[in-house]
Amino acid sequence: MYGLVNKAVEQLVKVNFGDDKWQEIAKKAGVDQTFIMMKPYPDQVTFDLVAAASEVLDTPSKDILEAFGEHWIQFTVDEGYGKTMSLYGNSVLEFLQNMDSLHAQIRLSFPELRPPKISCEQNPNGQLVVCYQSERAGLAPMLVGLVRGLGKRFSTPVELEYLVSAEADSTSEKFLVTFSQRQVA
Amino acid sequence: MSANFHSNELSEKILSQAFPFHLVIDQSGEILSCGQSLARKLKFGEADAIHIFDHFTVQHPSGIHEVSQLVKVKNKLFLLSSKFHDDLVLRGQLVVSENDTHFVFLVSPWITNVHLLDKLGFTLNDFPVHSPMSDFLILVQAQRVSLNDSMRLSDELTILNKESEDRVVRRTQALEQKAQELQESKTVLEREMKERERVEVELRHAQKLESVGQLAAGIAHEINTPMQYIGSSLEFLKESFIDLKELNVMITSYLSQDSLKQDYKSIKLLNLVNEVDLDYLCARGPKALTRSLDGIARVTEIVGAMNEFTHPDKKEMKQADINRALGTVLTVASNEYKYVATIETDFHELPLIECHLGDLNQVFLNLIVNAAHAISENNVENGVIKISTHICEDRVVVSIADNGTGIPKHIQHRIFDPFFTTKEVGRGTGQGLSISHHIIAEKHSGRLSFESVTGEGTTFSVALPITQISKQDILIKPDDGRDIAA
Ligand code: HEM
Repeated sequence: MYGLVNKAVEQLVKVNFGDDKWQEIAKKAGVDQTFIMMKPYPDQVTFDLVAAASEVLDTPSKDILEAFGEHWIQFTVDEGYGKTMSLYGNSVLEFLQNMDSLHAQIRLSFPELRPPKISCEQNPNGQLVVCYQSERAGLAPMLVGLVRGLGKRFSTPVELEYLVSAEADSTSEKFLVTFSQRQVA
Repeated sequence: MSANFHSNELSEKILSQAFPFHLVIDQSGEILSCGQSLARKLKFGEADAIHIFDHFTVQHPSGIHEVSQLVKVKNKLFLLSSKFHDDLVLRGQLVVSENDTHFVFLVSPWITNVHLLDKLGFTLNDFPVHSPMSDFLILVQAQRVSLNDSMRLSDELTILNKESEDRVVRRTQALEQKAQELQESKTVLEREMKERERVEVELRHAQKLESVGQLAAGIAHEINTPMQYIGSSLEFLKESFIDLKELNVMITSYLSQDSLKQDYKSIKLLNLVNEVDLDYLCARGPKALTRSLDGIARVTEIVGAMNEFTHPDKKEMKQADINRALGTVLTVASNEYKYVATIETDFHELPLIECHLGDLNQVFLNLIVNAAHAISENNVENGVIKISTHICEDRVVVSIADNGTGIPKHIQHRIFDPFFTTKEVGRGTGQGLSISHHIIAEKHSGRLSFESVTGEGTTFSVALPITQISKQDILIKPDDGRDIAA
């Protein structure tokens, strides 16, 4: 994955737990270089970072990935992708429906991007059903965090539920997204 | 392709959707229609009659000021700049209708940097979906991320550089310090080795002294026995002289009888008595014997003192008489002081105290010898060593005062240090006072102190507890009476 992702992991750790903890995690993961955001790195680097963070912070990988997903929304805005994001929708539903286009456009500057496929539909109860399909195994919890982050971004907090309760290393997943409360504009 | 499609099928609505910034003018230059995003920006109303050149300047191609000139530049790249909105430049191409009646500017804002978009008040929604504007933004963003990346990397590099420079400096300093420490420990080591050598010499000396001591003890014993019988023999002889004197008187008075004056044998005997000088013999003999007996007594005393002095100490303390011990030491050490000082003693009656007498002897000897040395160094005629004893509370105090050189102030705090000496090589090992201090303070829970005035003399005081508090006394037994040690 691109250095942008690893850098976001680094920032998440540093902001919440301090530089020392990051050094410890990086060392454990065998990372001794500084990440270049626009350069692709082997996926294993990211997985190792998550595993090391889980160990050092004594937190399950699942929780780390969720936190990371949620952090990603703010991180990309901070890194200057806010305008691009605003192009792709003004609600969680609209945004998730446009996710594939967003990643497709992102590919313009990340030529080796291998983004997941994401689709989204609203059921009669007003809930969303999100389908996620990836080339990588085990990143579903990240999507949980991402969708939560989107909920926050659009001021419509959400709760997620796994519909296909798959194994930890599955590459596809279905979620049911429920809006916690209707935000009155 | 379908042959049924005509240009007039491209409705104004579609045109406005596809080119939300376009402008259509007629031959007079009046703006007939305008894309929705541009209309919103320029606040053009439906009914307004606006001339293109009132509102725009043709920036490119240059030199165009009239509508009639437009025909010549159709399909060229066009730049129209607004007269009312700074930074608003429309960029595109001019399309002219078949009979040159209408001119269509297919243009959109020329965005050369991201901030311009905000500045002009446009959002991405103002652009048609097919516009490459969002791609442009992505690429600009990529450029920015890359630039940030390289700035960050350059910062990190600078910091790393600085850090490694600092590290080199620190390393160098650490190395220098190590080298210095090494040098210091080398000096310490050398000093220790010298001291060790000295201790070894001292030890050999001490061992020699010990064997000499043992030898002396043996010799003392050997000398004692013949001394005893020499003494008793002399005593016997002295007694005999009394008889001899009596006999002499008797013989002399007997022979002086008138009746015997002519007797040949008596005359011969009287001559013999005179020849032998029995009178002289009787007068001088006992005196000679008394002197000899004095000599024997002195020898016996010295031998006894030596015996007492060299007697090896037992592990446990014993009751001992300190006055007597001082007397013994004075006897043994007399050779050290008798040519430089007289001894004045002032001994008070003392109880026996618990001590290692051999050790105390050594201390007293040391202090007396030191006093003698101090006096000889001071070159005084009337050297005096005053030795006194008395009781002070529960302690016996011995003080040994001399009128020698005194101890200079600046070395007073060091005199109990091991190996500290002011004497020339061979005269002292510098161990004496340190050992003495150890014996008094550590072994006997006493106190060795001194007062000294340079040029006037020094007084050493030894204070010794009369009874030693033994370890058993300190042991507190538990309530049930069981012995802890058991
Ligand atoms: C402008 C915002 C975004 C940017 C620049 C961006 C960029 C990226 C990049 C660089 C990767 C790494 C993939 C690779 O290197 O092959 C990635 C992965 C991913 N992105 Fe995005 N992304 C954005 C927004 C989002 C959002 C809002 C979502 C959530 C719905 C999302 C979902 C994911 C997921 C789930 C992955 C993990 C890859 C996988 O599952 O295989 N992204 N994205």
